[in-house]
Amino acid sequence: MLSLYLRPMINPCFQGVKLASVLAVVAVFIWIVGDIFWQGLPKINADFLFGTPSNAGRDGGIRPVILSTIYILAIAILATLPFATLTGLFFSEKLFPLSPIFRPLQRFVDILAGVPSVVFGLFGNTYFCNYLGMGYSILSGGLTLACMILPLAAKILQNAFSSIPNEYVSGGEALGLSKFTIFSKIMIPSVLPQVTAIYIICIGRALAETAALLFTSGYVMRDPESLFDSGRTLSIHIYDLSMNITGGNANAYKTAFVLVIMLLLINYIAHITIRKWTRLSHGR
Amino acid sequence: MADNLFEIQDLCLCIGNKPIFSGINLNIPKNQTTAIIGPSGCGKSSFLSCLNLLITHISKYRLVGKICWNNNKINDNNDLDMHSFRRKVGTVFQQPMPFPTTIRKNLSIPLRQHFRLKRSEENDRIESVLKEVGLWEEIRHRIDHSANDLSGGQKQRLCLARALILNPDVMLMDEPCSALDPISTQTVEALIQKLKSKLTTVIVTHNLQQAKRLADHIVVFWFDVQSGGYIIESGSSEKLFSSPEEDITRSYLRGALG
Repeated sequence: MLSLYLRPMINPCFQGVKLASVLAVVAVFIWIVGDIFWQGLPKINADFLFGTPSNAGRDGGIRPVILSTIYILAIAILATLPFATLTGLFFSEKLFPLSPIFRPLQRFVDILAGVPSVVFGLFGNTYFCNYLGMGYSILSGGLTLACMILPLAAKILQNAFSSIPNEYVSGGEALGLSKFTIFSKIMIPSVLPQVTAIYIICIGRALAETAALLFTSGYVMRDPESLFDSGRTLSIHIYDLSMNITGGNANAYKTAFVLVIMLLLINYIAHITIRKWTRLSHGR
Repeated sequence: MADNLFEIQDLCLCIGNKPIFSGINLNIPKNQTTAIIGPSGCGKSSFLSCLNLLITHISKYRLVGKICWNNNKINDNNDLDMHSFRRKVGTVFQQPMPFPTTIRKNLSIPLRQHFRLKRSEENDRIESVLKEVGLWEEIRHRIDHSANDLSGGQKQRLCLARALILNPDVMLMDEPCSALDPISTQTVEALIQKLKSKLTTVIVTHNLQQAKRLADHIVVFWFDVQSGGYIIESGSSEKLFSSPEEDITRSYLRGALG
């Protein structure tokens, strides 16, 4: 009986909870971004963007930090995409049947995707910095980030390749197309939207990462002259200014503002590029 | 007596120990249309996939017997050049699924894989094959648009064009009209009729009237649990539809079975 009286209230209650959840998420986002914009935006100028840091980062600009971030990001993405694509293809079994011996490897990739970034940092420090002799460098940092992103990117691409209709592959095989042609001309254009997603995830994780990079790319705040130079990223700069440098909060906020703008800008450019690429490949 | 393009002897296909079809003996004559009919699940489509060796390289399938193409054994033949063999065996599937790219690229991808042509020759070939399937006038202004924007019938004709552009000797069609509306079906059927004179065609269909309209020869598949699919009767279209020898065929054609 009671449920009969309560029934008319279920839908409005559900709608209310739904709306409250959305508002909570949006409020947190607005709070964080608003705070960064409020504290950072008024103090941003060209000197800050293109100048070199001084007084342990309390004064001056962040040009070397921006350059190091871009280099590390580029290395991470360039190293991730080919390996992630081929690993995803291998596990998707779309073109080549997967031997039962290799099946357990899928589980390893899943586990690797959940390993904390600090562990990747330790691995990068041991392998890239010490064993391969790259030292604390942009290259070590970029490759460590690539290792960290790779399992997740490979998993997304595996799912993307698995979702390609079998008719595309069998249609290609029936026409006598080589596996490479099927892969490059049919499968890759089919997964372009997922490639965008990976692109954005890579950028997001690489820009936000501090733990793995503290062990590998180092702290140095001067213009990198080669990939073997040490360099700090925006996120490490923010961490250092806010945690280790007394009076560094103002520049930390300005750097955080640049980081958010950079993230939005790169996401936008990635979307535009992939959309154009998709249009070229799929037709108008 | 017509020459045979395919000669199939004691063919049996299994997944593990479960037979999909067995004991298939069949000759497919050149430049004629052979229709394969029968109830669902009797192995017609699997049989068709064996003819272009699409199914045979998948490890879970086991194919026993002999498929000869122009008197040469093609299954279990390591010397066979699979790419050039498949160029000669055009295949059209049940679902019209053009590649997720432009209409032009759907045709140029297979063309570039097998031939080295100048851009102008390639364009001429694309235009001529689209005219052959009756699509040119409908899509000439949007040839660089996505193939996914075409209607079902247009997509199926594009898939036909994709196979025809490679100048195949035989066309294998697996229920090419089952996903199409009656008008598109009519267009595709008219196209198959047109191709009859210059190509060997093997068509799997559930539509008995379509088989009667299109085929010179009919093969009737049936099914039992122990041996999977098997051929119950085959012969000329005229004879099989007017006076079938087997009771099962008679009942199936009458619509009482299957």
